[in-house]
Parts: sequence; C-alpha cells; structure tokens
Amino acid sequence: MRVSLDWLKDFVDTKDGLEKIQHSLTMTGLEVTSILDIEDDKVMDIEITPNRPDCLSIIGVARELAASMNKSIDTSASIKKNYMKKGPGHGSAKVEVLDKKACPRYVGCIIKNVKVGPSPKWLVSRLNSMGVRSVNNIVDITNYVLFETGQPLHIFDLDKLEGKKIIVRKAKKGESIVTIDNVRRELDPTMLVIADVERPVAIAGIMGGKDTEITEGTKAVLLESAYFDPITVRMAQRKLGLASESSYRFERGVDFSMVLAASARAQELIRDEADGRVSGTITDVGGKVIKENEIKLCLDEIPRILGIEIPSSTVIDLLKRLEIKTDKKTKDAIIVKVPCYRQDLEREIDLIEEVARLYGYDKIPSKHPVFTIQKTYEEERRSLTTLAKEIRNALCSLGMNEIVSYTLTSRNAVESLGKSFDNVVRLRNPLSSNQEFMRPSLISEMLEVMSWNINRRNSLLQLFELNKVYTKDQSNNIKENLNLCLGLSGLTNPGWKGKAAELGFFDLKGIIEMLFHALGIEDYSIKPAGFSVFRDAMSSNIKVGRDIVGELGEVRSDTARKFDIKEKVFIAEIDAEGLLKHARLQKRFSPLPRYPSVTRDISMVIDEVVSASSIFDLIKEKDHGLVRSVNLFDLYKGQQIEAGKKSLAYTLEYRSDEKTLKDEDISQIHKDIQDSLVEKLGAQIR
Amino acid sequence: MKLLEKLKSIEKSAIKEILEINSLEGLENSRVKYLGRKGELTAAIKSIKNVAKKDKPKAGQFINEMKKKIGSLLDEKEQGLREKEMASLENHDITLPGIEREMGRKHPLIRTMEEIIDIFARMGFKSVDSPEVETEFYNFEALNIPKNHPSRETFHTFYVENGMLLRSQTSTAQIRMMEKEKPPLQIVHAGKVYRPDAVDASHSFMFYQMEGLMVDKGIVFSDLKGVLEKFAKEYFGEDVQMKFRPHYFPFTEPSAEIDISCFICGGKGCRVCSYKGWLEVLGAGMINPRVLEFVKIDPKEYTGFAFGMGIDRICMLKHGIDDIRLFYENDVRFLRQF
Repeated sequence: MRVSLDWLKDFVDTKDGLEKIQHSLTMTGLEVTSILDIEDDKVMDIEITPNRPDCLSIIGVARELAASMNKSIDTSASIKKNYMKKGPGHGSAKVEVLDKKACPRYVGCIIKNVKVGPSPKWLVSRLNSMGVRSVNNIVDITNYVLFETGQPLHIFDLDKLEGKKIIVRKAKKGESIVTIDNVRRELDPTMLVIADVERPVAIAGIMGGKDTEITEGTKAVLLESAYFDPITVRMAQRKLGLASESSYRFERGVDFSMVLAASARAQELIRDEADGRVSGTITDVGGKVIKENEIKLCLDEIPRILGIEIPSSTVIDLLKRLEIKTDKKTKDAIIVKVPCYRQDLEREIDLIEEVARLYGYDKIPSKHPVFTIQKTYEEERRSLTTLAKEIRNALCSLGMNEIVSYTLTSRNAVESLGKSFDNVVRLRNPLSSNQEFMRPSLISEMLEVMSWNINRRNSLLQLFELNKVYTKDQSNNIKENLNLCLGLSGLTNPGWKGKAAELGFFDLKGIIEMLFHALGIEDYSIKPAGFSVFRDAMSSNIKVGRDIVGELGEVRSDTARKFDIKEKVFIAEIDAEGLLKHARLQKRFSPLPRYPSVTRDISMVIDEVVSASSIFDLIKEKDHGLVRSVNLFDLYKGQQIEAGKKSLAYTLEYRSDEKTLKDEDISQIHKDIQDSLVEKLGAQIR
Repeated sequence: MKLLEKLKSIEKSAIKEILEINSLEGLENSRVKYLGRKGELTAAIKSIKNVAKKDKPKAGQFINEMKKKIGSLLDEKEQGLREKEMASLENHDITLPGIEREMGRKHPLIRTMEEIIDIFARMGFKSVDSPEVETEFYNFEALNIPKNHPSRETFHTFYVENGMLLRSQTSTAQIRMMEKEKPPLQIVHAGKVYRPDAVDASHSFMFYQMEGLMVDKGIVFSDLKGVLEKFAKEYFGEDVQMKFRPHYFPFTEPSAEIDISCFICGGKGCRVCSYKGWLEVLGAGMINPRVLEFVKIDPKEYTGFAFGMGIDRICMLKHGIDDIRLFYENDVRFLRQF
C-alpha cells in the first residue's frame, strides 16, 4: 500500500527523516519495499501482511510508527469524538437492513445543499500521492477518508434514489446493475446489494451504480459508511471479477468502531469543501460499542517462547504503546484489553509476538540449541535419498549431465509416448495446455530438452534426469515415483588425437551396466522387448531379479520428429525406486588374484543370428570355472566374409585360485570350448 | 654356394643399414632397395635358376625367411619412426589443446539443495521425503490457513482430481512429520512446490523449496536465530550479517523474514541486491501453537521453530543467475558451467 510521508506526519509529530521512518516501519513488520517521489511528497510502498487489515490506512500506519518511536498519534476531532461511539439508530436517512449477518452495521446520513465542483489543490495532491485521479470534490472526499481511516464510504445522489430509501438485501435472481465503470453486471442471490425501493443501486462493499452516482447537478446526497461481512464481499468480488480499494478492505475486515467516525470525518470535509449541511439526524443501524477483547498474558510464557527475560514493566510499556490496555492482576500474569481494530490479536502467543517485534528481534540473543542424537545413519543408508545420491554420483562420473525439467506436461507429449490417459493425473486449473498433465514418464521432457539443445547446435548430449513421475490407480489414488531417465545423442569429441564416434545403443547399455555395478546390482538382464517409443530392433527391457525395472532403445524416428528431432537419440527410463531393494551399496571385498592369468584368443566366423550371449553362455559352460573374463575385441561383417555371417574375435582370460596355470592346463579346455562352438553354434574357428 | 654367401652379405648390410635409418624417407629408399621389383632380393631370387638343383629348396627357403625378416624389420622401424615423429610434434608444441573428457555435473538446483541439506544435517537435522500431491488439510488447514481467509490468497494453488492439490509450499512436510513422529524432532525437507504463476525471468509455476523444523521442550526464538546464523555463515561466508524482520506467516508466531547482507557487494549496494545492501533469503518463526494442536503435540509442553527458503532463489543469488527459466531449459552450455 502507498503511504504519503506528508500525510503520515499529520498524525505523528516527528522531525525524523524518511530514512529513519522507513527503518522503523520495516523493523516493526511493515516492510517499506520502495519509495516514490511525487510532487514534493515522498511516498512509501509498504507491504501489509494479510493479518493486519488495520494498517490499510494512513492512521493505521501512523499507529505503528508511533508505537515503534514511542510517541502518540493525533487524529482530527471528528474522529476522536465518534470513535467507539454509536449513533441514534433510526434517524433521518431511511435505511432498512434485511440481512443483518452480511451487514451488521450501516450508518447513513443525508447531506443537502452540496456544491459539486473541482477539489481544492491539497486534496488533489494527496490523492495523487496515493495514485488516485481526482473526480470531483464529493467523490474525492470519500476516497480521502477511505485512505485516511481505512473505512470505505459510498455516496448516492439522494434525488435519484427511488423512495429516497436504502434497503440492504441479497440480490434477487435475474437482477443486474450497471456499475460506475459503465459495465452491466449480472447479480445472484449470494451477493449483497444496496437497493432503493425499485432496484440495486450498489454492490455492497465493491462498487456503486451508474444511475445514482454524483454528477454536477447533484444537490443532496446520502453518505454510506458500513461494515460488510468479509466473506460475503470476497465471494461476490471473486464471482464478478471486480476488485476495488473498498472490497480489498472489506474482505480483510474493517474497524467496526470506525464506521461512525469515518462518516463524521466525511461530513466535516463535505461541509468545509462543498458547503454541504447535514440534514436531520444520522441513522446508525446495528451500531454498538464493541467490548474490547481480554487476553491473559502469563509472564513466564515470554522467555519460554523467546528465550529472553523481559521485565514486566517493559512488557507493559510495549503493549501500551500499541494502545493495548494492561492490568497487572497478579505477579505472574497481565490481563490486557485489545483495541477493536486489532482483530488479529486473539491469543497469548499473539501478544508475545507484539512484545517481541516492538522489543526488537535484533535484541533477542542467538544461541545454538541442544540437538538430540538420532539413530538416523542406519536408516539413511538404506533410504531412497542415499540411493539417489549414489545414482547421481555414478552417472556424473560417467560423464552424464543432470537435467531438471518441468513435471507438468501437455496432452501431445503424453500421447506421443503412447501412454494411456486412464492413469494420468490431470490438472483442474492448468495455466495452459502445455502444462495440463502430471507427467507419467520422464521421456517426453528428456526429448524436449534434447530437442532444445540440438536446435542450438549443442550436439553432444549425455543427459540424465532423476525425478518424480505421477500416476493414479483405479481408485484414483495418486502415486509419486522416483524415475531415472538417460538420454544420449551425438558424436564424442576426442579432440585432435582420435576419431569421433557416434553415441549409440551400446554406449547407453554400457552406462546402465556401469551404473548397476556401482549400485551393487548384479542379477540383471537386458532383453529384447517391444516398447512403442523405440525402434523395434533396439527396444529392450531391463530386468533385475524377477522385476522389470526399465526400458531402453533407440527412439523411433516418427516419435523423435514430434519433438523436432532428426538425429538418432537413445533413451532409457528406469524405476529408480524399484532398484532400492536390489541395490547393495555396501560393497564386499574379494581378494586380489594370487596367481597370474593366461590369455587365449578365439577368432571365428559364425551365423549372423547367433547372439553374443549364447556364445558367452557356451564358453562359461565349458570353462571348468577357469575363464575369468570374456572380452569381445572385434566384430566384423562385410565383403571379406560370406554373406549372412559375422566374424568375432574374443580374448579369454584363464586363471586359477590354486596355482599358476601352465599351457597344458588350459589347452584341452580351450580346445573343448572351440569344439563346442563349432558343434553347437556352427562356428568356423579361424 | 656362392649365392648363399651373397645373400648372407646382403642380409648383413641390410640389417646394418636399416638400423641406422632415421628418416621415413630413408626407410622408403631401403624398402625399394631390398624388397622392390628391381631390388637386391628380387635379383637374388632371379639368380636361383643358376643354382644347382639340390640346393634350390634351401636357397628358396633362405630367401623367403630373409624377405620376412627384412620386411618386419622395416615395419618395426617405420612404426618407431612414426611414433618418434608424432612425439617430436607433441614435444615441441605443448600449446596444443589438451584432450578434454566430457565431465558430468549435477544440476545446479540439485547441487544447491544437497549443499544446504548437508549443512543442516551436520548440525543434527534429519532429511526426510514428503509428497507433492497433497490434501487441503496438509497444505492449508493444518497450517492454520482456514478457508476464506485472506492469507489463502497469497498461496495460489493447482488442483487435481479428488480434491487433491499440488502443494504450494514445503511446509506440508512439517505437518506430516509432526503427525508421524513424536518430539524431539529435528527435520529438514527439500522438494518441488507449485503455484499457478506465469513463467518469466523471476517466476515459475514449479520451483524448489526447503523446510526445516525443530520441536522439543525448551526450544526458543534464540535457538532459531542461532541455527539460521550458523547456516548463513556456513553457506554465504563468515562475514555475512543477518537481519530478522517481523513478518506474518499463518503457521508460525512470532514470524520473521530474514535478510542477509549482500555477499556480492558486502552491503554497499549493487545490481544483485537492487542497491539495498540486503537480500531476503529466509522465512521463519516459532511454530504457531494452533499448528501444534492440529498435530496433537501439546503446545504447553513443547515449543518449536520452523524455517523455509527457495532453493531456486538461493541458487540464483549464489551464482549470479538472472533468469529462473535457465534452470528448466537445461541448455548444456548452462549446465556445464557448474
């Protein structure tokens, strides 16, 4: 809210400059966020938190400033005289309140002989400081009183009110009103209106009607000052999409005790600036003097919450500065009476906060609390957080860059992955169709990030994301699951020393194998399987134990093209949470070999369809437990060998734990292996 | 057998000659000289026809072996010379660029989150997980944000099916933990939150927050100050100054916003702190007794504090990043900078 320094100084007598005042306000909880120079005035923009509607006025801010500087404030006589007073009930203004819950208090006053015209210069410039344009003297005065007291007012042309009467009631079905901004608004029976005997003439607390507004020819007016129920005003404001300075204050709750005083203040100004004369008596429907709230403050509670002893005399003094009356009944407790405008002060803790902020947070010393030793290490070691950390560390050390992408995605993205919408979570109020669904998979965002980078010529992409996906089951329970997505594309960059190689399926497979090794997952297999996102030939699933935990493959070119990608991209998605029960992060040492190993090569030509895994399995079957590693070092297919065949070359590492192997120990085994490759798989040994 | 002797002498001189070669050009000359079509060995092969019939196989074998020997010697020498040449190139120009490896990095947001959590973990806080899809109860009611209360307006919210919503602040984790475990509680949680804000340089509909909480007998505001000062010094530097300003949060009371002196300019005022010298980094306070009542912890027996901060904002401040969108675009030229 804007606060004019010049206006503020009407109420607080201080010689202090802007900087001091700004600091005082900020350090008591009214943060000054910026300062504007308007004409000769300094205007502060102040953040008013939702618990302090009483500060939505110059007087309210003045009270806070005075409290922080230990001064008192001075308001005009008309306010002082009428604050916390009630008027005579039914007076000259004819007011009938049909909904007392939505309108507990309505002060009406008839002013005659008004001379509508331009406002005096002082009024124009004060409103200008608040960012409001001058309309005419009468309207300007209602705005002025609103800013000064926080009480919104409305003013009707009395001669345009049918029956010269005000009826406060709920709108009838089918009623509408043209508001002063020239827009016709449809009303419904939840909305409170101010009506004459015929029709609504204002939407209560929000905006007045065009028909009864003040014009140059207006002679007599009805001045409204009321208390409207915050929830009623908020609901109407929401439905109509129509917020105003008035509704902003009514929604948060205005000061019940100020209703009559604000009216009196406006009467005074209309008399001075527009020659208006109050006619007859004032009407105050529902007017009463509200009893001040009593709260007991136990003095022991202050150190129990704040950690510092504040002498009771200081506590009393601080509360007094806030116009909170204190009565020290016993040694240990104070009974306080809270002013009516402080509706936020309900409990003891609210008072402790008041004491603390006026005392100054900076004067409360800091200390380090005593922590209880918790048994967390064992728990954390097996937690998902720890697994996630290990996954990140392993992938980063394999040269993978982590991405973090939005978890909200579009219908197209979900569709392009061939996912069913049955278990996808949809937002009821999305910002745009690009963020309409909670993603059921990390793949679409990975493709989007790859596309973004490829379009910017970032050609080498080695990416991963470890983040949540969201699905719902048949009974609409929503499940969040931690998934891992890997994405590879582009050429490696060996510099000037070597040759660039294109990243592909086996790079991705290798990364997964290395990752599983790092996580201590051994019992896994990668086998062909059909996933709609991947090219048939390269589509595989990843199984750990009996569980399928993920999938990998080369993204189909038509799918990739939907993301504007023409390059080959390879992607894997793994259920990271599903890995938790298989991971063995605590590694067991196995002794280093005591005897040297011997290597033998096998070079063969074999049918193309024979898989590497069947060769591996056969070697292991015949090795008498001596083959420790099977390393494929060459794979060739082409003109130099027969069509339909491939050439493979392996190095087998033989080693025993009992002795140094000699030639004769392995020649027979090696021959057996070769023979069975020939016999069972039709290999030609070369 | 004259031929054999001749061959032996050719071999001897060839070996001697090849071993002394020190240029690739010389090597090529020798290859031609010995193995070429008009070379000495070819000439020797041609002269085999003059040898006695019984000596022919022996001579042939000898020539073959010799050919092999000289051939492999030449190959060996050539490889050595090529390596030497390459080495001399490298030795003479160390200004050639080093061979880079692709280095993987954690995302800056994740890294910031881990660093912050680690600092609190070292003090004795336990890191926990908490869901993002929440109920009204955890996101609002239990945090003392009743329906139709103006304070709800500061928390715009995405709704999904079944009356569930995407949490608008990580404070939901406070309620979940206090419900689940009994005091003493020392907990931190970090994760994503959602608010329907249009995306621009400083707004995002999804971002990261972290939350901390301590509940025990005798926890006071001084403890909150102590813990946060310790954190600020660890994370932003020993010289950093802190300012606790009164503020309002529905779930804490007394509440504070915490500014730190700008660590870029040391408080003198710069672009990053909008020439104020201070940066707002944290929200905190003593847990509102109403919140404790919601989770059935007796506020007369226990007190506690809670604090929260935006990971994106902290990360932006710390690294001088001026656009929040960079985090979620994941341009590798951005990712590689951390």
